[in-house]
Amino acid sequence: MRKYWPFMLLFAMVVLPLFLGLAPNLDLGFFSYYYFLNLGFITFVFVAQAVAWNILGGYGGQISFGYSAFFGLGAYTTAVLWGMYHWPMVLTFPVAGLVGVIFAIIIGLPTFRLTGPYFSIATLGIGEAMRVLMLNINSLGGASGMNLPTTIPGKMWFYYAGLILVSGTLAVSAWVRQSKFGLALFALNMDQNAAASLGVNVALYKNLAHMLGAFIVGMSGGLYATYFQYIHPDQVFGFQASISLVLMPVIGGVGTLWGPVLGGTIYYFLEDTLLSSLPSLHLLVYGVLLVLIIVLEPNGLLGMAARVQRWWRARQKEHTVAFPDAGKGALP
Amino acid sequence: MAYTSQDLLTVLVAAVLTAGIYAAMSYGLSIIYGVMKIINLSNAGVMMLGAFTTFELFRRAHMDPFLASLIVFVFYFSLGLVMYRLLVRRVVTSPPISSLLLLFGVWLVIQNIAILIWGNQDESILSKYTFATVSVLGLPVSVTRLVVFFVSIVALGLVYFFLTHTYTGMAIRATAQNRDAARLVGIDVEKSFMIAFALGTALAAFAGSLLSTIYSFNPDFGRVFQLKSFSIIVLGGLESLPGVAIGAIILSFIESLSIFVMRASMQNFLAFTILVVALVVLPNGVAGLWQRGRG
Amino acid sequence: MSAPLLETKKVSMVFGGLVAVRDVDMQIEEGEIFGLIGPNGAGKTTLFNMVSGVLKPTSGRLIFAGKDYTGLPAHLVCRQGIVHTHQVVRPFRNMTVYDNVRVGLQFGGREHARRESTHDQVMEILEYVGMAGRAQELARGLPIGYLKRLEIARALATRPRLLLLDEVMGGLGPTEIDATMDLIRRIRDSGITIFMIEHHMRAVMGISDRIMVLHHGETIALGTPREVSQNPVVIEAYLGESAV
Repeated sequence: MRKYWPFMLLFAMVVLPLFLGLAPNLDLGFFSYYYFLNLGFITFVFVAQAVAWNILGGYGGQISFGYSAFFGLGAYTTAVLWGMYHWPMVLTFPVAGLVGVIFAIIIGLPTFRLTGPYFSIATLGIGEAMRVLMLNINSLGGASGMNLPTTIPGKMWFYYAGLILVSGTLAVSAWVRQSKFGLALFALNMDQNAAASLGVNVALYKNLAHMLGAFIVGMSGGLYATYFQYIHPDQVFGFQASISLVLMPVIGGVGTLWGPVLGGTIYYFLEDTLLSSLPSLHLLVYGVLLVLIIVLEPNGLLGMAARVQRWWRARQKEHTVAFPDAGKGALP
Repeated sequence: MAYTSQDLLTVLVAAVLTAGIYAAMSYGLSIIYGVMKIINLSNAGVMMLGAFTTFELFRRAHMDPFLASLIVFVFYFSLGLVMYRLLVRRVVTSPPISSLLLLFGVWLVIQNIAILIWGNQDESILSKYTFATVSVLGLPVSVTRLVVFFVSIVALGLVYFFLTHTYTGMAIRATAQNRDAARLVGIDVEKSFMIAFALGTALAAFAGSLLSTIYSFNPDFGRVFQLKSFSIIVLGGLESLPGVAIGAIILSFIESLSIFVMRASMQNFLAFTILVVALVVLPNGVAGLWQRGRG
Repeated sequence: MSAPLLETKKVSMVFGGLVAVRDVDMQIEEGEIFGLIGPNGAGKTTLFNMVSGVLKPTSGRLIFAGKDYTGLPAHLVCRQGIVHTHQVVRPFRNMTVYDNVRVGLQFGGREHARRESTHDQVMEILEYVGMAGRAQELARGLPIGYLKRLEIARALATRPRLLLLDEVMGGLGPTEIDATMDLIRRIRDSGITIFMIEHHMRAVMGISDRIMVLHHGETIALGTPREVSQNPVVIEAYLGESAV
């Protein structure tokens, strides 16, 4: 039963819009048809990015503050190919992903071969550099941004496209966890030199994880651009976009499979419903949460939930051992 | 457009003056990395706070901004001690991901508190020096920039003297070289960490204070200068004052000369490109190149 | 006589003007246990790190099984068949014992890419070092004796031809030392050549076929344990240290 809940969740996400669509104009607050489709799409896109970030950042322990570069490049790639060269829209998404991959190689090759904090330092500047560059390229709209075609599919289409993206990303992330690739990432996260001395090609696996994340985030950038029909460097390359990608997985539970999903869902739900009028308060709350999580519970909300669960179980049957699940091969 | 040699000279003088403040704002990051091997992302927030503190002292108490910068130094030294005791202490020996994320969180908190207090608009300090100029090599040079340059150099000199000629300073340097060995010879490594963190924080705020007399600022003000600081310390090989000085001079000259070939708004792109190019061709920084030449 | 398994030709390592290892020449024959001793700071671990590819020698050549591998990155050195354990144990702390060994099995060694049925092989190695019962425990909870064994198990999983052991006896009690000496002999008897740094004199004298003594980065003696222990230069070096 416990094993199947991801599929039940997926099933619920698939059928819920169909039900709500029976009465599209009924006002059910959060569960109103259009509101739900809209919030669903945005949450799916950003959760997919958080899950993608988590492959290198969580499993491999390499913190990047620069994923907005892939997001923005993906958005611009789709805008150019679809808007200016009239490619079929869907075909532009994988290309948007590939542009992200190429950029990931440019950043990863010089920084990953060095030991030390160079990768994280370099990523702090990527988004800003791309933003400034794009503001100055007038053929791509420069500081006025770019408009995309308005001939787009309906909200329902985007909802399901987002759902496919996020499910696919989660499946990839789950596969990585149990694969040889994941083993290499976990090992180099804990001790790079020890991993290398056992034959792990540390730079290769970091680059692969970075490229994988860039591909997914690049595609999601393309999808996002078509949905909003307008992109601007300040928005798609903004530091805000990179910040949220770090916050979602870390708050949910960095390096876990479901942590980024939890963190991302809460992040967008809060941003959309509670704090949209006070964006700085929103980030302030997240900053405080981040500090508390690092100091108190590095495994994020999932780690806290696990603690509560253990405490609850221990209370229920005090005669049993405290950690019934320990040693099942779980990784942080 | 045609440029005269006069223009070139003006640009070069400006580059030298900028290099001074660039070195001062980067050295704090370098000290903290050297001693504790952590990247202090809260640096950007502290720099911004230094600027706003100076602004408030100037606006409310009508204090001279350069006098205010001294108060800022002392105040943020204390804040650095508190930050270390409360937070940083817990992550010094953890994997780098913890300190990176923790200090990133601190930066977010600082920046968003500042937005709540001061809003998002640009502020600037217009003091009696702001528009004054003196003649250097026959060129008009802003008094503010000149004073900022000298204050930066003096501050760097004093910090360097502290690190090389006092017991605490030497203990900090020993800790930077090898913390286990330092512990073995009886150095209080924990205290070295604390002083180094406070010193780095104070330098960042001090630099922010000086920068506020030249540039306008808002709560996001530290980010761009932090990027430049990273380029500088990577160029300089992360850990040494001569390295930082060389990095600051290189960045400042390239930035200044770039105005002849590209728009000023591309400067941030330039700083980043220099960072990546430095990583490709000079992984140990310019200082590493120098060492290789000797070895 | 066949060519030596490992040969170093005048390898030196200089750190910022300080010479840690100077012009070391040595040859390790296939199938022997080769001990490396010397006072603290003699350059033993530096020499190890050069042989295992962690450090690139400032000058000199490294030859393994007839092939010059100087400057090869650590993970490729491992895949040639040279693996080392660390003086201060470095387990993957949040992984199980089982997964720790799996890393060596899946990435190390010459035919790592072709390995398939890893479960049996992991368990086989854990049996071999006597840790099968702890396969599912997290490494961070293990006592030091087991962590030392885990280091060896992970290294063995790469199927090395040459195993470098850096002070595996450090911190162990007398019975554990006897057990580890026995384990090292068994490893050698299975066809793996051993190159070990050891401070514990009884252990290193008891199991080494030959011993090299390093002092201030230079070789001062080389021979059987008996020859080395009677060499006046060696006695001088050690007495000099303990007198400090």
